Amino acid sequence: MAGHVDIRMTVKAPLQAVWNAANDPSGWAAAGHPVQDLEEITDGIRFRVIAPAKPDGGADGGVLSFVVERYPDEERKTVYSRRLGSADFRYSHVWFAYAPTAEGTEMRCVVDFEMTAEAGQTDQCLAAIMESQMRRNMAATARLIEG
Amino acid sequence: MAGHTDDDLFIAAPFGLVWETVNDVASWPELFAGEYAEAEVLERTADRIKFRLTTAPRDGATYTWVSERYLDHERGTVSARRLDPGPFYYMHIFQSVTPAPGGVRLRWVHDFEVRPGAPVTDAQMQERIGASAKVNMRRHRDIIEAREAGAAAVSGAARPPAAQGAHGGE
Repeated sequence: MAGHVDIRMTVKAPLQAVWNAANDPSGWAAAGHPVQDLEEITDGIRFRVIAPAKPDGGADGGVLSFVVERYPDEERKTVYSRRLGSADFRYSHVWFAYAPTAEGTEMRCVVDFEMTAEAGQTDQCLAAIMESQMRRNMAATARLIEG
Repeated sequence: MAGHTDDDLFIAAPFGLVWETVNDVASWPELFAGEYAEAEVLERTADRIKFRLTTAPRDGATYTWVSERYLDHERGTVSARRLDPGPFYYMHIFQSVTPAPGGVRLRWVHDFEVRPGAPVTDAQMQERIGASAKVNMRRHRDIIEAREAGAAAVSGAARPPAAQGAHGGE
């Protein structure tokens, strides 16, 4: 059974400001999402993420390390990103969308993935971890933008 | 509710032939069962193909969009998506070619959501994509196995009878 995560969060800020902040890698570390080895590629950027493999982020939980390719679509205000070269993920598609609402901007993130047989986690277990981590990251991003 | 399909099929052919065939985008009008009138490769690097698909006419209408696929040859996996999402919020595809005894397993996974106001719901689109995946995978299998049989017949002509028998699966 594949993993599926779908999170929405509203930021009290205009669409363009949220888009700019969400797509500025220099601000990601402050939002709890540090990346390494950032490089530009055709139509997007590529970087490495090292994330805790357990929800509490404890040192004993091990880490997941993977390369991400991220392709923003400024006109549609959506981003597609995929994880590559990970021994843990068979595949992982991530889709971000930003849309104006009466209160500001809704950020949405949809992840579809499958873990490999060698990974130490089931799809359902990692979906729960991902959900809590991404909620934390999105809330941190929202706080940074709202100042 | 998002749409999700997951189909797989055994193909009695070696990994290399299957991998090359499924990633030969220009041949898709033949490889798929009447799905596409045209497939034009726009950009190609070692691991990424950007291409434009145009459907065969359906009820007098044709549809065209640009897609891209990322190829991981070592793992035999492909991550693909539509760049012009059209009626979808997103269309994400995973494909794999996995060695199995006597051939490979070909697998296609689609994850998508149609926009509100589209003529079909996620559930209807899921049914449609699942049904067409089954038909198209069988066509892939038939074409690839015929090519493999042709290649075996050609190479088999120069082999001693015992080797022919082993190759033919008798």
